[in-house]
Amino acid sequence: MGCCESCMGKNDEEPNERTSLLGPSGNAIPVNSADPISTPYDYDPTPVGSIAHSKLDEQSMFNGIITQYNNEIIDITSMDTKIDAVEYMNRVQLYNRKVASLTSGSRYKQKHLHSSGNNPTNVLKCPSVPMEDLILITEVADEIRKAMNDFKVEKQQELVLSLARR
Amino acid sequence: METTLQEKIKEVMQQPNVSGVVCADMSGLCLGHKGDGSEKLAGPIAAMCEEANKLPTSQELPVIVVEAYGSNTEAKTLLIKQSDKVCTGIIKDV
Repeated sequence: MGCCESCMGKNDEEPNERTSLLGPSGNAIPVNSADPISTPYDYDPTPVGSIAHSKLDEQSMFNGIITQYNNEIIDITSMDTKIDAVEYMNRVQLYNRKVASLTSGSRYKQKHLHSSGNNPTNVLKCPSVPMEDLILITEVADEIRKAMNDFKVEKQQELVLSLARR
Repeated sequence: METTLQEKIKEVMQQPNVSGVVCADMSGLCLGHKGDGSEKLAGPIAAMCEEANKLPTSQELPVIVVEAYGSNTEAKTLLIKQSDKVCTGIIKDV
């Protein structure tokens, strides 16, 4: 005859097919939230395969990676090369002078459009384009467009050839 | 097949005060030129037509007029118009 271990009151810390994955409240229970009254022997009610365990494992793994990189990274911004405000302003002025001297050459000068000066009426009262010129260019453009209809690509041989001919 | 085009250009050159003609397609390729109309004008003419077409005008494509007055050269006028996919430029003495 066998005996039922659960009826014997034996504490089974290893998960079995009847172990609750979520815990009694339906949520993941952290490791250290065990009730001290009901667990005098530091019994962790959270099963080993629960979601909280995996998250904690990941967290510890991330922390380990971050610690490793912190030890290996060389931070050049924290070197002892700090300059004071006076030196900083002097350098700013020096750089601005150098930039101004380099960009003041003729290469960087842009040509300005001719302006009408202080007398725009001279520009406005200039004679407009004669109508006959407008008619001329319109007719010529139309005739040349029609002449372009004679431009064709005459097919004299196959334009696409097959590479392999057997 | 360019015979008709060349004949048209010759006819235009016989107009009074016309000193040059240049024709270009919308890609700037020179299709024909004569007189003061250099083939180097083909690209700028096509570009000017493309920009002028962006103006909010009527359905008809606009005419571009470039006037040049130089102390060493005579005053000249460059008339440009696009028709379908061809740009035509005529240089006239003012």
